[in-house]
Amino acid sequence: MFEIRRMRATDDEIQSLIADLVILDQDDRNNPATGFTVNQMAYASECPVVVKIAGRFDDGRELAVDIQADRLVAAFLLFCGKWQIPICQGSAKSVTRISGGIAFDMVVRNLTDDPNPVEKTDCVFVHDSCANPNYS
Amino acid sequence: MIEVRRMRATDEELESLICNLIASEYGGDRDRGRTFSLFEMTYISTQPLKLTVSGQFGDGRQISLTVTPDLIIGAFIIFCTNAGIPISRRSVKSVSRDRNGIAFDMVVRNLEFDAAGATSDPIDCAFLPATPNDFKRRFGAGRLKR
Repeated sequence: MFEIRRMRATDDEIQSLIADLVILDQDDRNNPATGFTVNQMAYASECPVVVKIAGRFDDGRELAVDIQADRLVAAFLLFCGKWQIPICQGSAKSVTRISGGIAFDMVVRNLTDDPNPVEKTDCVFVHDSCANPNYS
Repeated sequence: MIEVRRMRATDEELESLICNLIASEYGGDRDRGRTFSLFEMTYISTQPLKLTVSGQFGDGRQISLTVTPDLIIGAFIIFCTNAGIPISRRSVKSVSRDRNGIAFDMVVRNLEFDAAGATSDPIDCAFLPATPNDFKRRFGAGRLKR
């Protein structure tokens, strides 16, 4: 048996996901900003998905960066951790550009052999290895 | 945010799921009655999905019954519960005939608001028991028989 799971996020929701990711990714751990606002977002590439964003931290610093597909996967995982949505560690994860937003896909093959669910993660600090079923 | 989740089972896997469901629901309390071997599974219609199954319990009793979509959904839910696969209680669940078997779909809208309900606890369906202990007593010994 296998499972296909897709989460669809609109562009506005993607901006929110990326803002959370950027906050977590800050280099300055001693004096981190608590908020980030995305001012501009554009798709630099659709396959693989690359998102260009420009925004500003609460403390006034500005940031413009390209978010690659693996970081987008991380953003979705962060969202799932934040909202305590259980996800399967062993699933192959990918993102796809869809009309009006981005889809996050998780595919589990041999569901009966390795369901291996992750329940109620508090936070995801690194991205799950994309398309690597042996990641743990 | 919207989540669409699909589990695909082949006809053989569906047979196993139905065996497990029947053994749990109709097998009684005796250990031998809690196993079920399927003789035959036939699709009556695909829209709405309906099939007939016949088989025999471990204690020799034979049974033939019509399986409707809600029972198939129940079979998938029992499988998920036994395998420890978390599913959302509030998702809209449906089953449909697929090229190679059965597809079990779960759709959650407004994922943020539903997230607190995402759990692997027993699902609140009419045919499922009310408490975890009751659940364990009824389904704990259920197993696939193939």
